[in-house]
Amino acid sequence: MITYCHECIIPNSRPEQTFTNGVCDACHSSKVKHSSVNWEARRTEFESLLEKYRGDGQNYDCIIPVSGGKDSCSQALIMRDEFNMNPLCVSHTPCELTEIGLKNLNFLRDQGFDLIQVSANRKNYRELVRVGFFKLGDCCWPEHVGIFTAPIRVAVNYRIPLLIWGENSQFEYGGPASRKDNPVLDRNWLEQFQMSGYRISDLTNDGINLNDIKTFIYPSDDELNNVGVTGLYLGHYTKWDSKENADRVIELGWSTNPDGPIEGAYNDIENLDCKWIGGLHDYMKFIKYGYGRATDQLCIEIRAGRMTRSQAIEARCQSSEGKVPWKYIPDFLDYLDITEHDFFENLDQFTNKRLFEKDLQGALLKDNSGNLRPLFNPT
Amino acid sequence: MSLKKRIIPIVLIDGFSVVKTIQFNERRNLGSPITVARTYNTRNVDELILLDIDASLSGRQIDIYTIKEIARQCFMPLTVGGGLRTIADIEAAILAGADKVSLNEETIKSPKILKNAARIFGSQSIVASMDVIQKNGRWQIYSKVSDIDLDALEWLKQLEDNGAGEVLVNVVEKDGMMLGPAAEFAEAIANASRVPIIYAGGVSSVEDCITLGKLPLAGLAMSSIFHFTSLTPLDCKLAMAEAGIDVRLN
Amino acid sequence: MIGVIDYGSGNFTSVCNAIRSLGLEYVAVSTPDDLESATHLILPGVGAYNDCVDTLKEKGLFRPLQKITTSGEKFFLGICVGHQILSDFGTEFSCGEGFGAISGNTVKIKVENDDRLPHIGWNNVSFSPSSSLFRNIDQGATFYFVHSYQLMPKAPENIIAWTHHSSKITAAVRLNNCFGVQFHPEKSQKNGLQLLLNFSELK
Repeated sequence: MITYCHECIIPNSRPEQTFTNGVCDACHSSKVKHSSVNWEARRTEFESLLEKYRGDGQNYDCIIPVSGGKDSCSQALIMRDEFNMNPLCVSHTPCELTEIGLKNLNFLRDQGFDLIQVSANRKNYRELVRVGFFKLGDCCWPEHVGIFTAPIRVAVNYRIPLLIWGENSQFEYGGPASRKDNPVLDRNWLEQFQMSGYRISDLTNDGINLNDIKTFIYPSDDELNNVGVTGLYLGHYTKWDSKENADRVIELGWSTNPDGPIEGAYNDIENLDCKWIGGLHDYMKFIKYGYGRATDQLCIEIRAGRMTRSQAIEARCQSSEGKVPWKYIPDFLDYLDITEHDFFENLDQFTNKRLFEKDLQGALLKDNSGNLRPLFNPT
Repeated sequence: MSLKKRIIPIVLIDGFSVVKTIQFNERRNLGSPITVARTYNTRNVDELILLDIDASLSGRQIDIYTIKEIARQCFMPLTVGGGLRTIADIEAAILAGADKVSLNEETIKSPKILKNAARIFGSQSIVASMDVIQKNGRWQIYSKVSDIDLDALEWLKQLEDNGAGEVLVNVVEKDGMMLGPAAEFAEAIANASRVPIIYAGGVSSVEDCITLGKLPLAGLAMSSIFHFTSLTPLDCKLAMAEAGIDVRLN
Repeated sequence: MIGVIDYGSGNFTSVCNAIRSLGLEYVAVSTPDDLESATHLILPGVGAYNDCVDTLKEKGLFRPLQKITTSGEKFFLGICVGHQILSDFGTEFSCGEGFGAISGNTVKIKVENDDRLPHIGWNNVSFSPSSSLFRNIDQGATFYFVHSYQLMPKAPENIIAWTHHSSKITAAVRLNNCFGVQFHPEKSQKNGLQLLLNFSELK
């Protein structure tokens, strides 16, 4: 049975989500965030931690992993302008960078930040996308691995021990209790929460030579200890608000999506940097779990007090969540050199049949655009 | 040349997602069963055990859709269990692609099912699964739906007499704890058995695999270790091989 | 053309999946007429010897297959119980006749010490070096077994592969164009798929 949080609209099919008395732990955390956390004390704690790392400006004293998105651009601005750090921004180039994605990376540099773009070779990146799409049900699997690995690699190679991440996603969106108070992102975190159960070593079974995917290989414990690499969540020490982040950067000239909300989403301010991180990636989430990006974004609005649950349900109905993201599918077929038939056959295999209407033979029912008919919706 | 000790990942599903339990109680939702199954297929694991842990509790049939989808691209032996109550249920699971079926609750409610199933499908296709807990120093059977007071080794004997081809033993208090197995109990049941025994519960390191691998168990089954640590089944087998235990490495 | 016998045996789908993954075509054979177009027949099998025989008889397939296995007019591969019924008799539950293509009986395996029955899991297989069925497969390669009985051919030259579980166990047999394997190639991953490919290429 699919059930929904009583306060937001996240379903119990979301991985790592737990519920207490019908309310999801992200909503519980949100209440904690707004009422029980002593943000002053956290900020003080943060400042004293930063003391140990802050330099005189001649060298970088921290790394900000960035995508060019509203949150990571905000992190960079906050760390430099509020906490007087000297950040080096590091981005891991997505599978297929969009125009707007590049524009926002340029925005970051226009704000005065140095940026290292770690761009994996496209030949093997493509094969990782193939593994992600066909094997793991996530076309952007290598992106998740890359964005949490490349900055660590740069930290080791440049000997910059401190990384500043954004929000603690287990706290903000739901996850195992043990992670919520732990403000550290390490290899085990990456393996537990970002890799869909796959390990880099498994890729050798897919005919990929690990020597050809260096940007995806996490540094060894020795390398990390040698430099003293530490990652801290900005969202643990300051009250995270994604809308505030958006407002901050938009005012400075950051660009929203010119075509409005991306496919499957509610707002036009997220997942702009890759052709498939919105759209197809979110659609794959939808077929597996029965909810997509619009739901995530609307839940954030509810928890921030900017929308009621009923408004969110209405907004979700109006959104394109759950619709086949046709815009960039031709590009994806080209990218992997696969047929539309193989593409949709794979999607159907990953579709959780118990979430959608089927005919008497058990085949999924679709409309003329290939859209599925969900059996469960929040009410 | 001999039969290899097996390392068998267990995948628990609740009808929608892969889950991992702790002491058969708390659950973590880990996402799509297809993703998990394909990962294990890539790893050429010895076998896969797929258990629908809600089917018994909620009284519904086992999730045939998921079994079919997983079996389609699985070229390793697949054992399927959860809510199998009748011969028709078992047949449906086997036709969906299971090589073996695991029976648990039903063997307690009506022990005859084992005999009947073994007669029809062959005892080698029938795995009897037993959940055990320790009470007052004694190992006994645990059931989610029945109130039962039965010594574990006694029950093992009954399962064997009724035609179980293999027995899967789950130690409830060790489940998901990542604190190591109940090694003494594992040894006792391995020595007492006449059929192959698969042990599950608490295996969390290669050292645990080596300890259990030296007992006359047919295989070790585990779940948390692969979801939450960097270890893969191959890592476990390489360590076991180094310790002189016969495992399949190709 | 490969023909996979469909008589309600559990591993029919797995065998078809394996064949398909090799990029080979096949037809499902559920009536005697279907046998016509196939040149390479595969008889999957799980479960009890007698049930296998009875079901094949019900479908009218027993006699035609008996004829094919004894005459060698088509290539034949029996898997697990499908291999055991090549014998004269099976002793599981009661005595039941087999095809008799390979003279001998199917009897329960004897185990001792720590070995248990059923013989379940991966075991090494040694085979006749010249065997076309095992081409491009390493000596001692592991295959997946799940059985308590074994086919004991009267003529030792009919045994083309063996394994060990307390004692030597028949792993594969052959008489002319008729083959049987005790293990499950459709579940033995790389080695099993190679064997199925080899079978499909027999001329």
